[in-house]
Amino acid sequence: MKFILNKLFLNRLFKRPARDSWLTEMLLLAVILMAAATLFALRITQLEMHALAKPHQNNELWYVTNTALELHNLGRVARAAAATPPQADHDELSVRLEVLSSLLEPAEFAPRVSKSILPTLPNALQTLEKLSERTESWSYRLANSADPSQVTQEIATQVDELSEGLRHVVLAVHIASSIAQDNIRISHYQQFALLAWILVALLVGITLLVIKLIWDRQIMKRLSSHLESLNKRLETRVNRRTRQLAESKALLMFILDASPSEAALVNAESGDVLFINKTLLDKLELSSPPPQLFLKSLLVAPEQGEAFIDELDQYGRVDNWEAQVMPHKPYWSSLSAKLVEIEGKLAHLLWGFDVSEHRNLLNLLETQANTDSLTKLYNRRAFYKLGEQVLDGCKRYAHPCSVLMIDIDHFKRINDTYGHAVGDAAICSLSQTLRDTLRDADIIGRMGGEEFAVLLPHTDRQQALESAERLRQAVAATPINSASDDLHMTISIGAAVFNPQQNATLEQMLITADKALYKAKTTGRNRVEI
Amino acid sequence: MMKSRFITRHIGIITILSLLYSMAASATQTPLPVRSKTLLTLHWVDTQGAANTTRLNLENLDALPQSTLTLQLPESLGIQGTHSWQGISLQDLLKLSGNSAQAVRIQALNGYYATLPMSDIEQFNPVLAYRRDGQNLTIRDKGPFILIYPFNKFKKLNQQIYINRSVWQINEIHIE
Repeated sequence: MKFILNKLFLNRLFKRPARDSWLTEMLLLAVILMAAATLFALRITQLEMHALAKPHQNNELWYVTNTALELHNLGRVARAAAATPPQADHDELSVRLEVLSSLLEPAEFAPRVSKSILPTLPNALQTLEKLSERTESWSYRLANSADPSQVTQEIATQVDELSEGLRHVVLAVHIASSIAQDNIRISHYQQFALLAWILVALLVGITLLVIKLIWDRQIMKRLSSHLESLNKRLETRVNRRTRQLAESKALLMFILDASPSEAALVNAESGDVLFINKTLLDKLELSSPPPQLFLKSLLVAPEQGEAFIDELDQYGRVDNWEAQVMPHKPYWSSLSAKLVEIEGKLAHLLWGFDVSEHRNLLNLLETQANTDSLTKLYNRRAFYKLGEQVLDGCKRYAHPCSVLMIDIDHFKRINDTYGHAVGDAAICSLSQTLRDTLRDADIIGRMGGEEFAVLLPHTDRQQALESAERLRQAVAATPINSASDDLHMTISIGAAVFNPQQNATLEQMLITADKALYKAKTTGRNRVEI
Repeated sequence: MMKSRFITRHIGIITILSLLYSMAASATQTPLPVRSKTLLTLHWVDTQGAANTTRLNLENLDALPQSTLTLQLPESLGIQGTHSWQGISLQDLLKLSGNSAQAVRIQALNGYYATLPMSDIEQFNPVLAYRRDGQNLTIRDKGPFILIYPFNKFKKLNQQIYINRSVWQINEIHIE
């Protein structure tokens, strides 16, 4: 659950919602607009710089003022000369006229008028033209006239009128100039206002960008701190898991070590011992783990060892394989093994369980279930079971087969006369005689009390009678108690032969033999009947 | 329409004026700047504190070391085109006075004057020109002297302050 939440959080951080991409696009547009505005502002500034690269001033003011002053000077000099006509210094007047002429020269104001304020004042221009004509005329006449004092007089009288006209020109030029200056001011004001707006827009744009940057930085910070915490948590989890694994491994080793089973883990090829528990070490009679151990060498029978390994390699596992192990001190063990992979290499995991006790007990129980405790002969159940098998074998191969039913004569009387101990001794003596007299292949059973049965395989009627007779004689010749020679007993025997036509069972044959036994009993005992 | 009429009228005036000039020139006949006539007056104070005056005519001037500047003057001075200006550099001129100067006041015929700090003379060494393209300057040509700064050599000179110091129609120099 926590993991899913984390994932959602990360998604929200990484995949920016549509709103944010829209914002980014807007910011990009703003940056483009800002760049355009900056270019525009740069162009305005460049034009203005170009205009301001060279010093320029309104020369008309100088021009008209100088002209007015010079006219005034001319008047002063002319009046002074007129006052003293005979010694008049016409040189000074000539210089003044020259200076005034230089001011009024077409070359002086003609190139200017085209781009200045004078053309807008036709009256002023007219006045200046008039002044120019008059000055040239005076200059010429003063240089060439025989009587310069007349010219001087004329200048002195006319200057004031010209000055008055020029005064209007000066005034008009000043007013026009001030208006022109103000127009320049207004244009500058407008340009600066425009630049100011552009700068404000740039400031706003930059502020927005900075806010966006800070915002992004915050997100990155938060993201990195979140990642860091995730990392830390993961690290803690890994550490805990590693510790748990180590602990559980240690626990497993402890359990395996303390286990009553033998356990070992060895490399499948090299036989290097990866693990061996104490129980197995004890069985091997070693104090420390051997460097190498091969499973097949553990089994007593070499061919069984080969088979065990073959099965393990073939099926990957072997379960509860009972075999004798430890050649130096063999015992029965139930072996299980598994083919496993440890660090990329095949290994054999083996565990064995000592079943010697179990096996002994089982053998004992089986013996007890099948044996008569007094005579150590087969009991009735075991006789039947074994007898059926032998009979089946004889039937299959059409071998002759016979049974004998044996009973001690007057057993009740022996018991009553000499006691149960002698009765038991009689039974034991008979069973010993049976064992001694009969072949190993013959099956002898105590059917109950003093009654015994014998199955004689590969024995026909004649041989059966001979065996029975031999038995009867041996018993009659053998004293009951080996210690005293005076107590004897006899037996009666009823025989039956397997008849292939009747295909009788053991039960039926025993019934037949029992009938013959009854006949022997009733016809005097200590005899064989068939 | 207005403009064309204006130009036509100006052409008329110029024609009349040029006619008058040619008449004047043919009438006087004599070379206008008389070589013995005083063109420049130097006022300076000697080490004893006595005021001195040196008058220079064309002959005196020609005897002095000559400097030439070829350049186009700033537009606001009102002289079009590139010209070769010949004259005496102020550094050479100041050697005529027997005293070290702090500043130089340049006085014009029309009453205009400008004061030059010595640093200008040391740094830019402006020329007191009296010939333009080999022709002597008349008063009408803004003569007899015009102070020419080397505008083509120093970008710093492109300021109104140096244009104001470019005095024309000079007739007096006061070494202070």
